[in-house]
Amino acid sequence: MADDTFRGHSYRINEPDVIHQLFDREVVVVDLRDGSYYSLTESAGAAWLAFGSGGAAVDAVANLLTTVYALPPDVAARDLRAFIGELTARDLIVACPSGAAVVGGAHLPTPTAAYSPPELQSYNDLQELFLLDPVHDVDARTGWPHAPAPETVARPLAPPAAGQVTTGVSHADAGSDDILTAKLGGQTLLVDRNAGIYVTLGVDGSVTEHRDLEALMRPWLVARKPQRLASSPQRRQLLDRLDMSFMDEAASAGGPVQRWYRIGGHVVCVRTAPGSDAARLRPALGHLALSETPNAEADLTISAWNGVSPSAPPLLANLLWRLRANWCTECGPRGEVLELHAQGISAIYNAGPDVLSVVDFEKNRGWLLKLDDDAFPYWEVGSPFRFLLHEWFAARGLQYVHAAAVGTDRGGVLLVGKGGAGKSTTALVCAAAGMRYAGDDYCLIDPGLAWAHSLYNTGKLKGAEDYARLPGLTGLSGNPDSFEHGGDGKGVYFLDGIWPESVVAGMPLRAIVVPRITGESATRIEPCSPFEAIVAMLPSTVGQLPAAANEDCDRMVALAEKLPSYVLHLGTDIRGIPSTIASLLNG
Amino acid sequence: MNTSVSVIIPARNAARYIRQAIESVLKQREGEADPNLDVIVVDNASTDDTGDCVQRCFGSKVRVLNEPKPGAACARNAGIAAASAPLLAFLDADDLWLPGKLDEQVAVLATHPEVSLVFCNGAEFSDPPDAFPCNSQSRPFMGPSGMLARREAFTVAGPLPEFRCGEFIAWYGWAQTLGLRSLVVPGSFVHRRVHEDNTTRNRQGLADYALAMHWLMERRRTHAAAADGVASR
Repeated sequence: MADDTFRGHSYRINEPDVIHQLFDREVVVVDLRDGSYYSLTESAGAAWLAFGSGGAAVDAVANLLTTVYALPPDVAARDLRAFIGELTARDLIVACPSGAAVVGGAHLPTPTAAYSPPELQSYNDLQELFLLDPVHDVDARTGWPHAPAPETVARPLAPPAAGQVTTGVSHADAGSDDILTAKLGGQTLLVDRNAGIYVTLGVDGSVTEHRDLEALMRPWLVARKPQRLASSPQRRQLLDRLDMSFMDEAASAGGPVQRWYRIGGHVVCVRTAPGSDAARLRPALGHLALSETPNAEADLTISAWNGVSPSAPPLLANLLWRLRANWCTECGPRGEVLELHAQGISAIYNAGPDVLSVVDFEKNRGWLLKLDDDAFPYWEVGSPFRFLLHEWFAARGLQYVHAAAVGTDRGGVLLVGKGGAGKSTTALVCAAAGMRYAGDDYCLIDPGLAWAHSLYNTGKLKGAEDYARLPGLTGLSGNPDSFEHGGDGKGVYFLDGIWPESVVAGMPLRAIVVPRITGESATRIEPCSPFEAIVAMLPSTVGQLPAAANEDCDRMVALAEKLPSYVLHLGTDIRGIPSTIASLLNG
Repeated sequence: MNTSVSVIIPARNAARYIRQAIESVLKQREGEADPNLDVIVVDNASTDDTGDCVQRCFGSKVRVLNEPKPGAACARNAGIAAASAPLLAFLDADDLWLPGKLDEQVAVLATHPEVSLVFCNGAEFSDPPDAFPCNSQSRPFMGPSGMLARREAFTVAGPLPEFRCGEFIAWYGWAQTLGLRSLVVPGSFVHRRVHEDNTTRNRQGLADYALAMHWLMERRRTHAAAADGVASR
């Protein structure tokens, strides 16, 4: 320990978690958090009382010991350092801004013995009893049961006045992730999901505002962005209850069905309850399935089911009930479940389809629960576990992107752009022509390797008119809510059953391609700036990933910096599309 | 072994909950007016109609004492003093016992003469449901509501020190020091109600944890010194 450790610092007693009382010549200290208790006598008691509730400078306390015990100053300072080390290690005293510079001995007990270094007698034999005392399970601060702590019931701010929010920070306390930023080649892209806009700043100082993704970003949800809370036993217990609830549901139907997949180089286990509609979430991952049960534990285990069991544990049942009844006050602006928005946990409630996605980063578990008993809608069946996979893989440096990926044996292109830009049509037309296919809507990108990992083997079509371009898919949509089956949803096509030779688990990327619909008959391709690719890819990606942060932007920029970018002007003669992409890759 | 039990229920402004608590005690032993069950409610300076409520609902099945000196420890000590049975159990007025609690614990004391205190497991519940965070998983309930004690334990270790909190912790620590043995039966038999006004303790009362631990440490020191004295003679 360096000699000047603690010098110049001030400390105070860590009240109210730690209480103390002076009895004659002994200070008794109780740590209410864990039920340990301490006896401090003579110099230890004097130092403790000198620090006090208000705090004191270390030098002041050392001076006091020097005076009271007539010690050489360096002895007092040395012994006090060791004592402070012990107290801070147990969190009994905490640093404070500036404590008293001089402390008097008037309220301290008179020394009755020759000096010995301050010492802490510690006892923990009664911890179990302390922890059982109501004051501890409930709230050590107030001492009594209480309504859920204020931190868990952060309320939305009043909606901003019309016209108040344009660009910039839309809430007074907005964190840095409220405005997402990507810089590339002197140009800047800013995304403000709270305002529903993205803005590009040109090298020449020009500012262009885009509002075309407003519907995706849903800026009318004006709840305050929640602060991430500390992890707590109660929150972690809710996760265990969620898991228990799934296991009960599965057990009542004969035990969970487990399947393993290799996604982005990691083994992911998906568990469903037998007979649950959640089984329909698996085929989209079918091309990534492992043929054998792995020996080792999965890197991530996702449990998916639907319907809230009547026997769900009460605290969980209550949370789910509140989400459904009052999600706008139980959730942050992007569906962050306030009660579970804590370190090591992510919980997003998507009120539309009534789906709760939870990730436990500590134990690598995920849950996807559709609270009602309705069937999963086509977009969940076509691209399941979006939020879970985004966050879990983001922690491993892989980027979930709104993009398609197709290619040849020379590698692939990443097709980027908002919905309707032509990604899906381009990708499916290429697959139909025998090219490699890794997804039409979402992929997992490794920016370091410039690699696209496939997530889903599905393709989606909007309506029967698409069959003119893709006749091979006619009648093959696999979802009951498809337009083809009288529903009002897109058709979802499981391509590993339709064009199995095209579907691949991943491909090295050679270029980023921005498709544009032109109305001209011929398809042509021309280089564009990486910034243009970022503007096409980034806002629509972060706009639909609730947990997207600036790290997501960094990963997408890293990829764009690595690869050439092109604009693909899509011709009406679709035969030209696969050949144009193939010649780009072969050229 | 005489398996009569005195059940001591300290109650302060507990009219809302005490009926359920007493019912959960009476259900322990079927049969009307079981002479082996001596239920003592100690009304601790209530300002509501706790005492009347008990008299009205349970009549002669329950004895009601008054202990004006405030504090659960004082009320429990008054109950201990008035208890007639060789075995003593405690139940907080807002907690509940589950069926079988006394039988399980009495059986342990009957077969383990060396054991003085028997605990069981317990879990919490929120009243109203879901209003308060609680631990609904059962775990050893090392508090008065979970304990069945031989009366001699209180003869040996003395009554509870009369603090606003920490009194049972300190007493148990002292009983341990004196070598009184305890066991925990595996079953979960206590439901602790977590509610808005769980007890009459307040922030100020928290300071009594330090008093209680001081009381314990002082006794232990005296005890150790006495033991040393004996050894050195």
